[in-house]
Amino acid sequence: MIRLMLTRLFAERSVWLLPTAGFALTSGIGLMVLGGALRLYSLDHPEFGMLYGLFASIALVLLLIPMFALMSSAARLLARRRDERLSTLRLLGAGSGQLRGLVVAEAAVLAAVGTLAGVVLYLALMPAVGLIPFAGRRMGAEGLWVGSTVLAGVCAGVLFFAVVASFLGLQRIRVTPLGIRTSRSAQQVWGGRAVVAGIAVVAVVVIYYSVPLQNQALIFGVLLAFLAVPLLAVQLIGPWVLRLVAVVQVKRAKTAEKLIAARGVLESPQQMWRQVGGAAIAAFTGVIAGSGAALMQGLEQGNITAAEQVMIGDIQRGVMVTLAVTFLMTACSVALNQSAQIVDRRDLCAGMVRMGFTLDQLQRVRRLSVMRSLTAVLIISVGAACIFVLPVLGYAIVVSPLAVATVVLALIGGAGLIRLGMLSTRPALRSVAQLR
Amino acid sequence: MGSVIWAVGLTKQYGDQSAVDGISLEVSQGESVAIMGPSGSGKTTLMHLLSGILSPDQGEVRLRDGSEDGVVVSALSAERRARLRRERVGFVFQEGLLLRELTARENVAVPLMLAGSGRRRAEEHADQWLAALGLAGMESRRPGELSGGQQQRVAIARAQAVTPGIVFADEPTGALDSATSTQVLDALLNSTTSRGAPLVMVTHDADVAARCSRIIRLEDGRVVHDSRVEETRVEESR
Repeated sequence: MIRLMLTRLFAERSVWLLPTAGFALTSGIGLMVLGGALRLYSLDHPEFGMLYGLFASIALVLLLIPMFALMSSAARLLARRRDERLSTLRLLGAGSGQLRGLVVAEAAVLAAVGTLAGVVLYLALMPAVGLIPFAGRRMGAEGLWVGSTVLAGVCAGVLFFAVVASFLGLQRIRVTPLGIRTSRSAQQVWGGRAVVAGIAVVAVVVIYYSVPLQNQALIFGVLLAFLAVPLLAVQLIGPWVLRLVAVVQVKRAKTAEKLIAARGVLESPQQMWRQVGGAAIAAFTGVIAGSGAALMQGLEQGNITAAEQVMIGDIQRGVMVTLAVTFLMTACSVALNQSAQIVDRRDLCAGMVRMGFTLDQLQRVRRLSVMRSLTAVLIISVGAACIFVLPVLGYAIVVSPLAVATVVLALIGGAGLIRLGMLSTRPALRSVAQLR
Repeated sequence: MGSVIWAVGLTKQYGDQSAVDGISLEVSQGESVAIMGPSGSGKTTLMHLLSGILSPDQGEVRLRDGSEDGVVVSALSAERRARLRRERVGFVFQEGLLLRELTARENVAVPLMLAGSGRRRAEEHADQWLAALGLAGMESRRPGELSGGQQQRVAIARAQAVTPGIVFADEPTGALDSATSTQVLDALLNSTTSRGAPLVMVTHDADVAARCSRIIRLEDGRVVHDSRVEETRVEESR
């Protein structure tokens, strides 16, 4: 039975296209990021070799959360459109073990095809990305090559993640001959998240200042934890904050579009956070790192060595590249999640168009739900970052306004990129809303 | 009684297959019309043509709008037909098609808000309709917290909220048990015909059709039978 179903897996585009695209983007971007980081680790720089390694590690930590969000989005797409098939198989007498085997096998096949496409994407983009210079010379296509062992490891990791995620996803539903039973009530966001996040941040700060750090590796480790824990705290608090924002928006909504958009976020703040959370983290770190780099540039002008000048330029470029990759992954998450929602709710979309809703109205609802959530998280994260580095930011604005303006423009450009990700799903909406 | 909608020579083809083949009909105020026929006979296509969801290849559909000749629905642009459906036509589908993230009240208020009403006024109006359909006290529940019959009554309230000139229903009781089906049908008929608006309903169920004042049977896209239910009963008693 599993073999028969697998041979028909690619017969219906709505079943395979989105998850495959999701895994292609995840593995393609992931490999490229890893290639860049490995390149920086291997730099044989006489003065700043270790610093480049540190900055590469920081960038990896920062990119971990949007990468995980993108991978989760891809894994969730595996579950789309499978319900009808599973309940039909159950009706025909398939046992739980057979259904489990089928779901896991399908996930593995789709993830494998997607990962393969991701490797092709990575190889195709290497010459273009290789033009970015670090430490005074271009990275080059060959400099971004991760090596066959790492390549195989990444592919295996993505496959493993897909299989485990699909297996866990199956535990949350009950397949009956009449359909799939899942919770239809709004997702609850535990308010204790804020407390847990707060305790974690305080714990890291206490450890950082109270534990004597003897060797360099330990200092690096604690420094990365010092960076990672607040980010994880943001990840915990994010959905809860989005929920609070959505509650206010529901109360204040004056138009039908705003009401539906806000209710949509309230239905599942976690899902919306998976889409826009990456941007919050990008904005937070972009402001901190960007103002730090701008300050360095402004203060050191005139009395620094050529190598130091290159290093400062590299830091700024690194911040921009990290911001760009984060926003790119966020835009991909938005595009994947929104496409999946359109496919999932195709009957409702078609019904609403029959009732007289226009395509523009439906698109406006989706745009409002994403862009208003994005605006809220950007305001909160940029505001928090500004408070965090207020003196540094103040100096940076005075001594290097151009560098600060560049960061601001990068944030605006990132929001634009996410808007483009949103727009890219319009053809999918048009196709399901088409009146036949 | 004056006609609310009238269609002349409606034809719709998909490829070389005629889904609707030269149908002409009029529906009057307060009438309840059941459109019956085997699968593929053109019932749903006819309803979509009458309601302006689809445009006919030939023929025209007119909807009363206060003027003597009515508005030619089939001649309007897609945008204007969408607006007409939103503001002057009510729809009830088999699956309800409620927005699961909204409460019952909000689901009913949305068409009014889209038509330009303020939120408070729209929600007050929605509450009145929900109460009229026996859903008082359930306004804040979401569709997932309501039974199938209750969800369908919310869908009826939504269809009636804009006080449409005509209501179309596509198998509105198709997914319900017989007792719930009777309640939903009562609600749909009473809420529509009691205010003088006609109801046009596609159904497979002869019992449901028998509750309507008129039955139209289709076969291969053509009307093969069109009678008032009273006439049919008289014919059967002979």
